[in-house]
Formats: sequence, structure tokens, C-alpha cells
Amino acid sequence: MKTRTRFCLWVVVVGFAFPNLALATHAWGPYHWARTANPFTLSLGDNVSSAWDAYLSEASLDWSQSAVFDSTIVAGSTTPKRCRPKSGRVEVCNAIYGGNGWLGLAQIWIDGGNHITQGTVKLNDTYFNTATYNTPGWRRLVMCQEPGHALGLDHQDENSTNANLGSCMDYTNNPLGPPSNEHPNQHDYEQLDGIYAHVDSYVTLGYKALGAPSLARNRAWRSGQWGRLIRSTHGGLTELYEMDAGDGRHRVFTHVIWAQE
Amino acid sequence: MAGGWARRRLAGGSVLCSLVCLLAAAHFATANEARRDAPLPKGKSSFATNPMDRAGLIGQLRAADAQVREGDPVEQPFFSVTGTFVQAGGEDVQVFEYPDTAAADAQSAQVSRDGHTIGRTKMQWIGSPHFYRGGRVIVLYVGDSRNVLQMLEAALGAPFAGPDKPDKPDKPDKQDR
Repeated sequence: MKTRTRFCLWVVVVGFAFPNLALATHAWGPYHWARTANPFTLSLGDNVSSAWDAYLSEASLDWSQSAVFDSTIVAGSTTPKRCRPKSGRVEVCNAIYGGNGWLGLAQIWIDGGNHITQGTVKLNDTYFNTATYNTPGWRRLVMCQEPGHALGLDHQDENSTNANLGSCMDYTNNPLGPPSNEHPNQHDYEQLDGIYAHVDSYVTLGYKALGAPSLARNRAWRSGQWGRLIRSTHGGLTELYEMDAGDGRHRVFTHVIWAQE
Repeated sequence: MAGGWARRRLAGGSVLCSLVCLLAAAHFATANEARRDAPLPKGKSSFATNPMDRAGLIGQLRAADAQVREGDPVEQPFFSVTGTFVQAGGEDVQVFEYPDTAAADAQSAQVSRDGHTIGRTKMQWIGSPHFYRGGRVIVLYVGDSRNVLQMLEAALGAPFAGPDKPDKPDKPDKQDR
């Protein structure tokens, strides 16, 4: 009897301590990029128009907050309408794809070992050109969610009518919430940590895995003296940081060109 | 003495069990025979002799709504054939016609029960996706018009994928968390 009471108490305590336990996993099956070391860098091919550039940069920075990898924006290798995949990276495209029912779409290709070899993200301007979806909230949500799938994440929740979880991997009718579903949340980062906790014996990425010093470099500078990283190009060799000057009116931009390691 | 009685009783139980099994098998065989001979539900084709195709579907939809008409082609990156928009009940539904039922079967097997994943493609839909199957066709309707849903269900039966068939178990309302 005593044992049973103690067990029940445990269950209640665990239930209160981890209220999001129901969301324990939202990995997209076993799919992940193969790499031999963490952290790694995933290249996002920029095939988007100027209307999407800022959102792509923002999404890249958002996902780079993950402890296991960075994403970097590289020149696109396809035409937006066709949006053909390229090995080792994710091509991001926008075009008027027609009234086919989807706002955004992510496709991945895998090898025999459930390793992602390439991916594409399509953003459907047929809908984003309408008043309903031509909003920063919708653009941020979809631009964040689709690359999230290409990393191996599923949706946290697929009910559009319940309250937001504060994650772009959560379906919603109101991206702004509150809470806002325009960015990843901690649970997404934790899920990525879990997906990429192991390393593989080969690499499907088109960009070499960064060593630990590079991660330390990125993390230190991003949170350090130059402020927030707002753009990264050429495979992470050039970066732009933004910092408030302290007077509330001016901002300091620092453009960094890294030496090859 | 007691052991002999028990053995006889067990043997008797086995015979009884076998009899029940035989009767059950005979019942199911008869029932299946009767099911095969029974007329198909109204609005459905006999796939064995005349599998549903796009023209047949449009004909059935027109029986319910004279305004049904074919529209432009529609490409979906997750389906191997080009589809056709069909306007029914004032809304666009997408009809994908395959060369044979086996091809349609193989394609529909790729669609997750909730309709958010097809093969290795994930979509952010603008509304609820409803997928129907019939013969050589797969029908996709994104929306919630009761009229359209009823028309499609009358022609094709219940959807095989959609919002009422979640992949994941129901979660508590997020507001409770």
C-alpha cells in the first residue's frame, strides 16, 4: 500500500514537473543528415525573391541557435519554379505554384540509411500574394517551419484552432498568437539535440562539419561584443552583427569577414 | 479414476471447440459469399469490372450538382500524375487519375492518415486536407465545406486521410498546458 502511494505520488510529481511531456517527440521519423561530428553546418540555397530575403535570414539565424548545428545561406542553384534539389543542401524557393492548397512545402530525399541527402523548401506566392497571408507573421511561420522539416522535425501539433505553443512547428490560424508561432521554441532545439545526439560514419552534407572551435567562435561572438548575428553568407565566412548603441536610437552594425581555418 | 474422468472431459471439450470453430468458419464463408453477391452501395463502381475514373467521378458528382465542371490541370510535387481541378459545390477539388488501381493504391499508401505527409513531403495546408480513393482516382479537397464533403463521400465513401484521422493520439487542449 505504501509502495503504491509512493508510486502514484511520483506520477503526479512528474506530471506537474513536465507539463509538456505529451510533446516529448516531434521528430520526422528516423530522418536526419549524416555527419561525422557535431556541430555541423547546413547550407540553405537562396532562390527566393527580395520579398523573402529577410525572412530567410531570420529563419537561418533562428535555427542556428540550436546547439548541434548552424545553418548558412548560400547562393541558390536552381530556378524558383522548378526548385530542383542539390545534393548536400536545402534549396529554398518561392514562386507562384498555383492554388494547390499548400502555403509551404518541404521535401527531403534519403539514402538507404534514413539519412537526408538533400531537401527543398517551396513557398507558394499564390497565397502569399493575398491579403490573408501576405503578413510578416505568416511569412515568418512558414519560412521557419519548412526548413525545420528539412532538418528532420515534424509538427509539434497539427490542430490549427487551439492555443499556440510558441513554435513555428505548431499549426495555427494566428501566427502572432500570443504566444507567437513565428520562431522555433526550446522544445524544437531539444528535439534537434536528440535527433543529432549521435554521429554517423559518413557525411551527407555538402558542407564540412565545423569543429568545436568554430562553434565556440560563433556562439561567443553572437552573444558577445558585436551583438546579434543578423546575416551569414558564403558558408559562414562573412557575417553581419547588429547591436544597440545604448542610446535606444542608434544601432551598430559589424561586418565580419573570417579567415579560412 | 478421477484422472480418466478429467481426460474424457478434456477430450469432450476439444470436440466441442472444433465443432464451434467449424460452424464459425462456415458462417463466415456464407456471409462473404453473400457480401460478394450483394449489389454495391449506391454511387460506387464495381472496381473489378469498371474501376472509377475521372469521367465516372465527374458524372457522379454532376448527378448531385449540375454545375460541376472540369477546370485547369494541377501539379502536386508529391503525386506522380498531373491532376485536374474539378469545381464541385462551388469549390475546387483536385482529381488525380492513375493508369490503374494498383498505381492509385501505391500512391495513396504514401499519404499519412492525417494528410499532412505524403512520402517524404510535408505540407502546410491552407485548410483541412481530405483525401478520397475510388478505383483509379485519388481526390484531394482542401477545405471544410459540408456540401462538398457530402458530395465526395456519396461518390467515393469516407476519406482515407484527413483531419478526423490524426496520426498522433489526441493531445489535451494546449490551453491546459
